[in-house]
Amino acid sequence: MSSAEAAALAGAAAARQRLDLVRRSLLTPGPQVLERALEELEAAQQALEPLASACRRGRAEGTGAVRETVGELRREARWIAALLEHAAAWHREWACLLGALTCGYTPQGEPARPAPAPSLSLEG
Amino acid sequence: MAGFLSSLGATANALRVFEKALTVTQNNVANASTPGFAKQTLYLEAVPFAPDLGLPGGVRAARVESARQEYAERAVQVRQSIYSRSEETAAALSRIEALFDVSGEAGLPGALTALFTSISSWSIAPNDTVARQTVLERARDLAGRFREAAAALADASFQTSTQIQNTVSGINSLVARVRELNVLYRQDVRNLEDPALDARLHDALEQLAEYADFTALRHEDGSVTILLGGQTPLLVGDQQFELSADTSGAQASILDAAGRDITSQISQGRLAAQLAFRNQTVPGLLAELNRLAAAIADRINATLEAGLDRQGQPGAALFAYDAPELAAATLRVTEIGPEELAAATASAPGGNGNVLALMELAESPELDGFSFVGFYGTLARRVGTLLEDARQDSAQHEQMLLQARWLREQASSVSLDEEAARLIQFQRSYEAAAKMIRAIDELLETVLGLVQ
Repeated sequence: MSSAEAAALAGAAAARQRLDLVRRSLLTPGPQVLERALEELEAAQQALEPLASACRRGRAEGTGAVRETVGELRREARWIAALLEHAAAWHREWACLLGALTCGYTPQGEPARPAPAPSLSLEG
Repeated sequence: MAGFLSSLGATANALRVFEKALTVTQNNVANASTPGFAKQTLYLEAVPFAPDLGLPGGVRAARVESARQEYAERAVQVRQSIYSRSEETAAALSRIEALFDVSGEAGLPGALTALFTSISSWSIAPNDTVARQTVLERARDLAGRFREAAAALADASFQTSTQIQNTVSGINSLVARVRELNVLYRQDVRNLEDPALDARLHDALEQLAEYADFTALRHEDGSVTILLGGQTPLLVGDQQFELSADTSGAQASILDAAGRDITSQISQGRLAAQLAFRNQTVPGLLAELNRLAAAIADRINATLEAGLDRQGQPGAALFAYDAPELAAATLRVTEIGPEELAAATASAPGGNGNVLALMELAESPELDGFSFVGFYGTLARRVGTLLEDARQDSAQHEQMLLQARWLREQASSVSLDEEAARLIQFQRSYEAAAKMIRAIDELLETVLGLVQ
């Protein structure tokens, strides 16, 4: 295995660790968790770049290890996507209900969206 | 004086409020670890202050309102049903996984390979009695393996029938528990404020969600109507409609209180998984096993019957079975003796032409384009794939259930104002994270495309 391939696989392993962290953190998807998840996802994407470059240059072509690693990464990414979608749907539907409970319905018959109270700050 | 009395009244009110608040707090502390309990919040109302009119001002306790969001409860119940179905499916498939061994050394494929190996040895010495006897023994062994596999599948089906009966019985007893709560709620409206009853209700509903998918409608008097699959009433007020299971036939069915078949309404929960396993998975596998057993028997018999035995007589059948749909369960070796096995073809008496034709059956595409062993391999792979998918599903749905539980806890502790303010922030974060995940997935897809 060349040093470039080893670096690519090491990057993939690092990306997997980050994705695993994000998936676990999304079990409690609070605002801070989501903020941190974004940073981790960005870092995971960067960690995958060497692998993508190696594959584009044909250095990792056909290796079983790469295929296996990428398969695991994809599964992890899809689990994260499912958790994100589930939590987002939960909040979206809750927002609809909350809107209907607190603000009634729009003239179109849809639940009104709740708006946070406006805030104003003055400095100086 | 009026002002002083008003002031005293306000103070007394406030003391009552604090007393009630303490009760609520005590309830929260006492029930913190009670399954199904949600924190309760005391809502306070301002009392108009107008001493001249005898209005003392201050605060008074509004109704003690459960902070539990029915929405969040429902989300957990839905997730529980989905997770339980996948978990039960994985557990059921695990029980039959060992039956479909693909190593080729044990079980059915091993016995099939051993039969063709014995035929291969017989081809070298077509008139050798020991070689002929070995073929018969290997054939008996193969027939025995088929019967064992069919019996194991029948046993899996029987066990699942028992599970279905137990699940239905569990559903009925949980609904009976909710019915008791309905009676209590209807007896005394103050029971609506009892957090222990509330906890018992939601605990029972969450357990019910493990068994099957349902819709629970909460009425103003606190009672709950439960509709199985959103359609069949299980409980309305204090009237329970019991389910029953009929597992006597080829297809297990669930019957409502009026005896109507409502099996198709059950799509989630353990019951859905058990019904799918009992009515589709096991019969499907058994049908394929029967096809394989019948095909092996028919093709070997046809080849043998086309040849000549040691006495130059037309060959006899090696295998027998009762009916194609019972082929695996009834496969057996006939009364044939070693001398009656037809080694020669009619055109070359005394030779091994017919044994060579038998050997060809080992590799030739006999079923759906596969050899016998190859066909068994597809069957085993199907079980393996189903099991792996069910395990993956189960792991993923378990995480979504954990997430839904956490979101429920949040719904119980976050104020509506906070919630509204957070929603926009949540929406932006989800969108950004989803975009990032899409980018990663595309990147991985590109990499996969490059390495294939």
